[in-house]
Amino acid sequence: MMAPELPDNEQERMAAILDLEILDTEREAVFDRITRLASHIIDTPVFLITFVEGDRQWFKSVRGWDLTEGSRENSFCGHAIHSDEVMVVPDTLDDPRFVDNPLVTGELGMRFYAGAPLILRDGIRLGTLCAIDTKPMELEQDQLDALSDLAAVVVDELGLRKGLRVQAEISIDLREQATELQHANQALEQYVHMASHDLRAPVQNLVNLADLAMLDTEGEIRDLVEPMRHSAVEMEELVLGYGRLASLTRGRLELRNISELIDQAHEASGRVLDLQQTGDAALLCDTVLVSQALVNLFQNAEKYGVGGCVTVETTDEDEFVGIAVSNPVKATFAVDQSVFAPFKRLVTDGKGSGLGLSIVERVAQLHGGSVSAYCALNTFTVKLTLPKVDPG
Amino acid sequence: MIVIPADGQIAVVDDSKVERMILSRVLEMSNLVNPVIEFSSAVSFLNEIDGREQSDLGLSLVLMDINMPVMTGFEALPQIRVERQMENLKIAIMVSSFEARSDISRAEELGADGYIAKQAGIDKFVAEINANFSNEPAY
Repeated sequence: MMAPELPDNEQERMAAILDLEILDTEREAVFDRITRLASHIIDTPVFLITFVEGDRQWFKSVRGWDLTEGSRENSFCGHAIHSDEVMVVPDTLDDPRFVDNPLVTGELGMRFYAGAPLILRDGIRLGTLCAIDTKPMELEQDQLDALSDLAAVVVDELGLRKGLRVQAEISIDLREQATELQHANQALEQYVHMASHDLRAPVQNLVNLADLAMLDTEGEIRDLVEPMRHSAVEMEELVLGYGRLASLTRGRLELRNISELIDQAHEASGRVLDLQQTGDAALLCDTVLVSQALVNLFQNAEKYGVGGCVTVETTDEDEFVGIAVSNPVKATFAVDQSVFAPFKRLVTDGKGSGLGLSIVERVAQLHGGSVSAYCALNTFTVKLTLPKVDPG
Repeated sequence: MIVIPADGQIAVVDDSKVERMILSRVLEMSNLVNPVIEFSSAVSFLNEIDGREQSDLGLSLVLMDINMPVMTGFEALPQIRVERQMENLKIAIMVSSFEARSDISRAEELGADGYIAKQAGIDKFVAEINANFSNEPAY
């Protein structure tokens, strides 16, 4: 008897088999269907899908035998994996390699074997799809071709599930990465909040010291202290903005009329605007946050508008409440969603921190709502859209 | 509005020399007529009042910072109110405005009578003082 030799690339071949995670798995209908289909093409009682591994051959599908594996030493498939061609042994008693093989001489009495290698890729043959009989026979070429085709289907199926597994792993990876990013983001926000908090006192001191210095100083020094104070005030606004943006979280929800919130925010904004309200609606929201958003919009209207009437239109839209704050501007300009990005400033006169609208957007997001901005007919509008039902 | 007698001192308890200086100037510019006495820590303030009756202290108001090393304003409040039983001494805490909400309610639970928010801008700061304290009851 001639035991099969190990292929030159045995290590690589083994790695490929292990990578498929197929060994010692349960029987599966998809592979049994392939051996059943093969039995309609070739009239033999036994069909196997084998994987030649270590010192055994393991069967993923077995038709006609009550076995799950056999020794590699005695195996026919161990020979068949040395070529891309279907290995046919028409009569084992005529083949010196198998004539005294225990599978031939023993109880199983194998007389015929045809095995199509499972070719994963160039040179990597995992095992076979094989047909076995207890009497010698000859196969037609189209039967051999069909056996090869079905072997290829087995390999396709293996590749497919490998792909699915990889996909699942990637999506788990992605989910883990998203969680990590979320944590990193939280840490960053916390850091910003802390930095903002710690910077606040010294910045306040700078403004106040500059004020005191100006009380006592005239002339050139005063000309220097004044812009110093201005810078410190800008810094204070920034520090305050960073802190607010980083620490915005939604608190208790309360049912309130928008018109009340508007009046309250108008007062809190410290601006006296010619404010006109139309419409009203009751909204379940964190009133502190929504007021903050309105305060920012009113302050913007005063800072960047050209005077005139500021209108607030509240619309009741089934599932949403819309609050649109509009003010006249010098000229119509192009505007898109990027105005809500932090540090984005519509004007470059150094008036703002570039955080006001980011805070407005954040407030909308925290309520599961959205925000949009548009400019037409010399009027700039920011519209908050907030859902009536608490999203969660 | 907290009414404070005109005849006592205002104690400013703050570890920051700069902030004590600013606050003293702000108090001078405010409507309050009281002289100011500065303490650089809660501990030095407690040493000052130890073993004395509240009526002997000559204090009309204590303005106390919260974040101080060694002993915070939160730790100092029960020392004054409970340990030394000075229930009637007027104490207000000083907060930077955006940490305020939770700090204020905690300080009030510990016995603070009120608070002022530190301001950027002397005018605003003076206005904050005048809005919260007066030597005369408002009629």
